[in-house]
Amino acid sequence: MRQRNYYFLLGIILLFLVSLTVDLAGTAGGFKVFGHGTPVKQGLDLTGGIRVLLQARNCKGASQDAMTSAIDVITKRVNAFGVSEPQVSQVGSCGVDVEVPDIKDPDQLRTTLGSTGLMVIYGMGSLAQLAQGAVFPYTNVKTYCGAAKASLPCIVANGNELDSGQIGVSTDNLGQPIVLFGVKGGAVGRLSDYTSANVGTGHMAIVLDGKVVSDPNIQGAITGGNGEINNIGTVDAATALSISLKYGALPIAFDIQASDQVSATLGPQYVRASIVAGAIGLGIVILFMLIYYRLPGLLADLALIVYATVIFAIFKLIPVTLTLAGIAGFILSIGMAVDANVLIFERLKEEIRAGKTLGAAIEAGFNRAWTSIRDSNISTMITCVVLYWFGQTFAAAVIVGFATTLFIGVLISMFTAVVVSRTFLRLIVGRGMQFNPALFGAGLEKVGRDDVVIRRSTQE
Amino acid sequence: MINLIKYRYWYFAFSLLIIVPGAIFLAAGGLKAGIDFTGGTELTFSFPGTPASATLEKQLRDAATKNAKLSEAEVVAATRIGGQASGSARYLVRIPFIGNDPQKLAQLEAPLYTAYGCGTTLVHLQGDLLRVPLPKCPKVSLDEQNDVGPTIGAQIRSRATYAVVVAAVFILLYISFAFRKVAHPFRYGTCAIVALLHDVLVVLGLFAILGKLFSVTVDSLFVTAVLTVIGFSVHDTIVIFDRIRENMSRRIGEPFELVVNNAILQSMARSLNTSLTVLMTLTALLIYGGASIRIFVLALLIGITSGTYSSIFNASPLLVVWEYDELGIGRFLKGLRGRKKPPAGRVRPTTANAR
Repeated sequence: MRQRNYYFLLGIILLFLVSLTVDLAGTAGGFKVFGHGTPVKQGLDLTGGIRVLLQARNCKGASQDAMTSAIDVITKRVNAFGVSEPQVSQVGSCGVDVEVPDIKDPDQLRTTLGSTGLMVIYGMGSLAQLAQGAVFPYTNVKTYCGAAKASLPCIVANGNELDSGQIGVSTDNLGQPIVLFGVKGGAVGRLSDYTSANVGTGHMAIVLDGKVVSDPNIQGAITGGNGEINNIGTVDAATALSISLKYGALPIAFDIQASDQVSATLGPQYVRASIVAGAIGLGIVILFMLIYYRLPGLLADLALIVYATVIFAIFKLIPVTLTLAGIAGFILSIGMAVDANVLIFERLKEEIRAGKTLGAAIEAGFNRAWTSIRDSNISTMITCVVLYWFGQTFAAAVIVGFATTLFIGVLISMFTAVVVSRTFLRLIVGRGMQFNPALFGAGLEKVGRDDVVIRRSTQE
Repeated sequence: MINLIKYRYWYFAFSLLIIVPGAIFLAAGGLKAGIDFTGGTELTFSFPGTPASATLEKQLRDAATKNAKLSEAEVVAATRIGGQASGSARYLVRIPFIGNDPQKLAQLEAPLYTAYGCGTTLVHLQGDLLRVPLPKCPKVSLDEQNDVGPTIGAQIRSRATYAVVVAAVFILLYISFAFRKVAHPFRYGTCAIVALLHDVLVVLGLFAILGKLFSVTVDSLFVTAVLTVIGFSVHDTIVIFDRIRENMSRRIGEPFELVVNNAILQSMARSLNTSLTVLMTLTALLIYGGASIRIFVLALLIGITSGTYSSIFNASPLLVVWEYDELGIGRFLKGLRGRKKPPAGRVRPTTANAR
């Protein structure tokens, strides 16, 4: 028994040291574990950034294939903004969740995401010139320019005739940002023919997702299949437009159903505040355990420190995305981790008062307390599972983070209370220490149990 | 030895005293739903210096109604909120959902930027013509923007209700299973659920009052807090019930009332200590933690305090009430059953524990 206990102790120390290494890796000293500098994965409310939940406008008509290629296009677009670690994932049958930490201009991203990216060039002839930003009024335009019986407006270049390799941002000779584009296939000829035939007399409308981007007069013939979109305003807007076009149009039209945007300055403030709160909370609990339960309290505090270290290492390794609520869950679980210890120690006190030897009291205390610990923690874990489902269905990372951290916290706290605390306590049995009941808090207090009949057997 | 159970009706009365005011506010529609449930857009602006609240609020409202062309009723809120470093003020504006409408946002923001000396420029973005601030406008900033569309809002609403009901059902099943070896396991589950309902009502009531008086809104994080409170309340109740179960097997022949009383006294230290440690950590979070979860932590604090109280003073005494059938419900039900099967000319012997 003593032998086995020593093995347990060794195991716990090893676990503690490994966890400590994982905890410190990537932060202090920046050293790596197995080649990974494991930083803590922070949620958007800590890093700042933007999260957008898109949903297909026509959910039933969105096939899984279309969704997959849509997500591919969206991912490319998001990556083109040059951000670190964006996440694009499917939610449900027709939703896309996009999370982008660390983005300079979230408005541009938002507009790019909501844009299908279908650009069509129409020959307008002498029809009324349209204002920039107006909704293109002609629906069901099917005829191509140059075909027999072509009516106005006609299509000069269709959406899939856009040559994505030629999309770029540049400046015109006035220094204003413009977007360059090129067409391919039959559109090159059509563009050339139409512009040649309508120099100075007609205009061409460039329409994006049904809205007029520009409707310039035709100044000269365009033979190379290249064009430019001007009058955009800022370089950022031009970049966003080029990104919308570059990777092709989305096969499904999406609407933004939800979004969260947090500026990057608040995040670090919150992190600091949480660390302070956590440290204070931990400190108070440690002090309390020491004062109330004395020796076992000290051991419980050591177990608590092991617990905090192991938990944090687990969060880093999985990795769990830490949100502000997730940190709250972690801090809450610290308070609850103590619960199992409290249960055990109260039992321990009873057994000691009943006159058992220390060794027997420890064993009896742990055995008796286990059913309580198990049953009560399972109920917390049930609510965590329900919470996880609740948050998962609409990709609420905050709720999912909280449920995960609390669940893991409760699970590990059961382990540390039963295994770690017990190992520490067993260590002091037969150490030749004065068995002073006062050291265990089982001193002179009476709880009024004069009529209890104690059975020696510890089986229910 | 104190007989706590003797005063059980006092505890029930106290519980009612706490719940009733909250319930009144609840019935009066005091619970203010945040955009998670109603859908909408919330914008948080930071302004430099400490301008007078009234001026800024008027500026925000004007920007929303005159520029963004929203109606007065649609501007649900334009109020100052706390939680920012000194030297600037934060304001929250709540309007209908504009997630797909960048023009509206631009229209709302433009007058604010110009009012604080930031230039704006016309930008053509994806077919929309917008007026955006010139880059590097260090004064006014949009700190946060939260949009919730109508579909998602409806989803959240229904899921929240499901979540609470499902959690309660699972817990009931689990407790009945865990206590299957005791007489009447179903009672333990039900009493735990009643205690849990008590706690949920306390939290809801409190937030109905806060909503009515301070316009505090509840969102999906609040639902998270409620579910956590449920988990914790049951956690606490089970520990006491477990003690009752243990005592029952050791004190055969003792009146139930005494068994429960002893169980409560024996678990009292543990119940209070655990709650104390949890409340300590939560209080630290409330005072030192981030502002955006303050409401969440408050809900947890109140709920867990209530959970501790209800486990000791509601759930366990309720078991006693049920055992002794003090409310006469059991007799009433028996009477009903008796009437369904008319006795065939002789008196049917009643068995104990027939429920």
